[in-house]
Amino acid sequence: MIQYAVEMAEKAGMDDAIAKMVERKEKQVKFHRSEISVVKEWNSSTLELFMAKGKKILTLDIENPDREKIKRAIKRGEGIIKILADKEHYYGIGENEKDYIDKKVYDNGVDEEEKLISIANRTIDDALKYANEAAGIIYAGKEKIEICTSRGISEADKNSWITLSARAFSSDKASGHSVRCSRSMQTLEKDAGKEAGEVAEAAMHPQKIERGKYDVIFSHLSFANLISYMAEFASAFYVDSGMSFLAGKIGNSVGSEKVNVTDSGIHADGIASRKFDDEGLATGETKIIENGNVKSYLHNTSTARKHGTKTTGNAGVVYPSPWNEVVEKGDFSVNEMLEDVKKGIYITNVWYTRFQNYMTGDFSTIARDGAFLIEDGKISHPVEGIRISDSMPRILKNVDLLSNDLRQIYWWEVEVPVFTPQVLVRDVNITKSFL
Amino acid sequence: MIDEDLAEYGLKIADKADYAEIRIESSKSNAITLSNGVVEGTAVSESLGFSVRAIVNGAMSFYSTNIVSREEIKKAVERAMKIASLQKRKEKIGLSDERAWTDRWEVKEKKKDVRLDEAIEFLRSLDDIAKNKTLSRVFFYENEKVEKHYANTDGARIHSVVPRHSLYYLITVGEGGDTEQMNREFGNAGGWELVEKWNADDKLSEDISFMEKLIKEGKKPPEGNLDVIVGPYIAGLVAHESCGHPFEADRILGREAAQAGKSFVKEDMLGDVIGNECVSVVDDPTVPNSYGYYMYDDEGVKAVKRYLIKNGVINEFLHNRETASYFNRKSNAAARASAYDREPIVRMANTYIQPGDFSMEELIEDVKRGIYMATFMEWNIDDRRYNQKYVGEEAYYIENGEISHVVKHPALEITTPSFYKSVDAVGKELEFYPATCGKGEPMQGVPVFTGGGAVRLRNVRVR
Repeated sequence: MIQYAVEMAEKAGMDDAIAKMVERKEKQVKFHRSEISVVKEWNSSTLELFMAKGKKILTLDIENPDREKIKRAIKRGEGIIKILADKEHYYGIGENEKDYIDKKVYDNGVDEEEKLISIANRTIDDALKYANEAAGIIYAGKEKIEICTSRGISEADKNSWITLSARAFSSDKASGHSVRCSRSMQTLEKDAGKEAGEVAEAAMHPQKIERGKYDVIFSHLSFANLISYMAEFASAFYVDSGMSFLAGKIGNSVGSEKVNVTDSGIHADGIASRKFDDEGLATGETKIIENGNVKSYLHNTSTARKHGTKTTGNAGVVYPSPWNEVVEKGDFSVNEMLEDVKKGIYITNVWYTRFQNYMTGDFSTIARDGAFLIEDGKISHPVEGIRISDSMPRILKNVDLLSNDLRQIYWWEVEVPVFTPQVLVRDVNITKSFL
Repeated sequence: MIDEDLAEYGLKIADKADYAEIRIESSKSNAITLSNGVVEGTAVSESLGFSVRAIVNGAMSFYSTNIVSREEIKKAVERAMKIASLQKRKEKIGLSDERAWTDRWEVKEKKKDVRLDEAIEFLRSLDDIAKNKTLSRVFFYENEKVEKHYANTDGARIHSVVPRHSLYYLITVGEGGDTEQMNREFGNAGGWELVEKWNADDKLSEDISFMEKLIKEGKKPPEGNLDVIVGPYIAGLVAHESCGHPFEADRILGREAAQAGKSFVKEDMLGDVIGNECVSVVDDPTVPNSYGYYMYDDEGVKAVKRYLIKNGVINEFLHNRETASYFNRKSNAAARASAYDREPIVRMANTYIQPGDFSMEELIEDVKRGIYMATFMEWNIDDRRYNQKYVGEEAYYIENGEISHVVKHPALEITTPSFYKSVDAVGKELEFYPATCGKGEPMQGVPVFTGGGAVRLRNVRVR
């Protein structure tokens, strides 16, 4: 089918064509008020077609494709592409020059519904040992991707993933959240209910604190949130469109020398790992930040040529996009990090990160779930109603210690999978409501 | 063209379910991105798919696919029944009793089937305005037409066709290393004739001029207790974030607790005072040509105007049939699904602070020391919808009843009850602004309007 689509596009006079077929099956168990709310299932088949004539480019989606639909879509595309404007910096699609690396795990049984329901029930039970209400999601899927391009690439890939996101409440203002994810059911840690419950229990009776500068230990969840935004900003499209504080910073420092972030399309357990990108080119690893300096943006063939570099295997043919981010871990245990804090806050989760200015990276984000005051190296008490109001470059520059435990985070508020340690950042600006 | 018989066939197979519904949707959409004068991408999509939602023994299931055939409908119903029956619920899910409507409705387009080159030309005309005055600019335009057929085992049959157009831009203005950014969204349900009424070119020119002024003349805002006037753009955001969301009954019941969070509003707070008497907040899907317009929701219930806060009192929550059943009342038609492959959940439509009696001049003239915030960039709110922050982009200092000068990024951090209780006057000019509201997992972005009259707050802390 994909070969047919490329042939038809070439017959229609296209200079470049890519057909990518994705067949996906997903299941989800959602629970709230400590009971299952709904079980969902999806089954889809979609062909994504990219066509270029000269510098005019067009993408078309054909759902549940057959030859007739493909023919019709290409005919329509032929008419549309004529009237489009040139994309001046379109430089064609790539030819693969690297070996494909496919060491990622695939689990055909990742979406067995009885097991998903059983994990939901276990998560609820675990959370209720510490808290009085549990909610969450177990979301699993598998997909088959086939790609064919007019540059002679014809490849196939398959992926599986499962995520468990659990939240526990011990009172209206005391909650805990825990996320576990993996590419296989077997390797998924299933203790999210326990961890969420423990945090919720510890977060009981939060107190208000003063605004000001605090050292902050970001948990896996909260640091992953910031890095997932940063990963999007590393896309050359974001950089060129004024939507990134990384713009113009190649070779320059944006963080402490302890900060190393790599985009990986080949991580064995990365939720977003793929054998090839949307041009069919081999994915790999790209250092975005090395010792605090911006090393590379994420590119497809065209943005790479525009920036005078090589593709990083991150197509999107139109917009390059990140795969999984890996933050290099440090040597410290969380207890050692705590001991190094005189006045600080341990923030277990954040949400609603919003930017005042993408170029400067000025933003704020809200602590949600347990947040704990640290005084003289020890957790003192839970706190409520706080917000981080700071800037991304300042946060990255003030990174001081990184923990030795790396965890993959991918959930509703972290849209790019991130492997991250827990991170101590000095002098973070904390604000709260006045009234 | 949707084959409505498929839904009838599916519902017949579902006769052993307590309840079942089938929603078949066909959509066509076109999207263009113009970044710094270059058409980065043009995407054309056509989709056709359906979903089945069922309740079996008080447990709910949802199955969706884009493989549309009699065989697949049969499989979908059977799978939905199976995955519902695997659950063992203690508390059975119920649905409120509703009239089973049969209707066909459509949002008319006066000017339809706009060509993509015309749309590109429209974006280029905007880009021409900005190109010599900005460091960067990016424009996203999208149109879509969604045809939907809904049928349930209670007898409801609703067929609809809704076209929409939308535009988003983000511009960056800079001088001497100092940069400012502003984004805007435009959107309506209807034809291209509404795009022509957006006056996006004027708005863009105004935004650029303001940012130039902000960079040159913007002063640090004073800190301390001041009066604050928020324009309809921010008033609408407040109405949406800190009234609409916490009044969603599914959130109150914790159904979104692990994602979009819960609510500081509790089941028993109907009738409680939450704001000054001059504050009323409305959510109304029936505003003609609004971005969040619908005549029937995605459970086949006829749309109605909802008074969430009436004269400062918590008056009504947003319900679908599941939450209405729990609250032992009728649904007020707030069930929406962003696409055929998403379950219908409780959503807002067009949420606004009901206009009052004051002109903008009257609101300002009575302020000794204050801030007028017209637009925002950064904002956020906690997951109980209690603590929120709005940072002004276009903002001015008011001194002795007059606009004095431009101020840079004043931040209002305030709790929801404090906001509504600090309001002493509401402007009489109602303005709407389109937005895309996110909720659900997988994420469902649905088109909404936010808006209101301008709102004056007395004696609140700004920095």
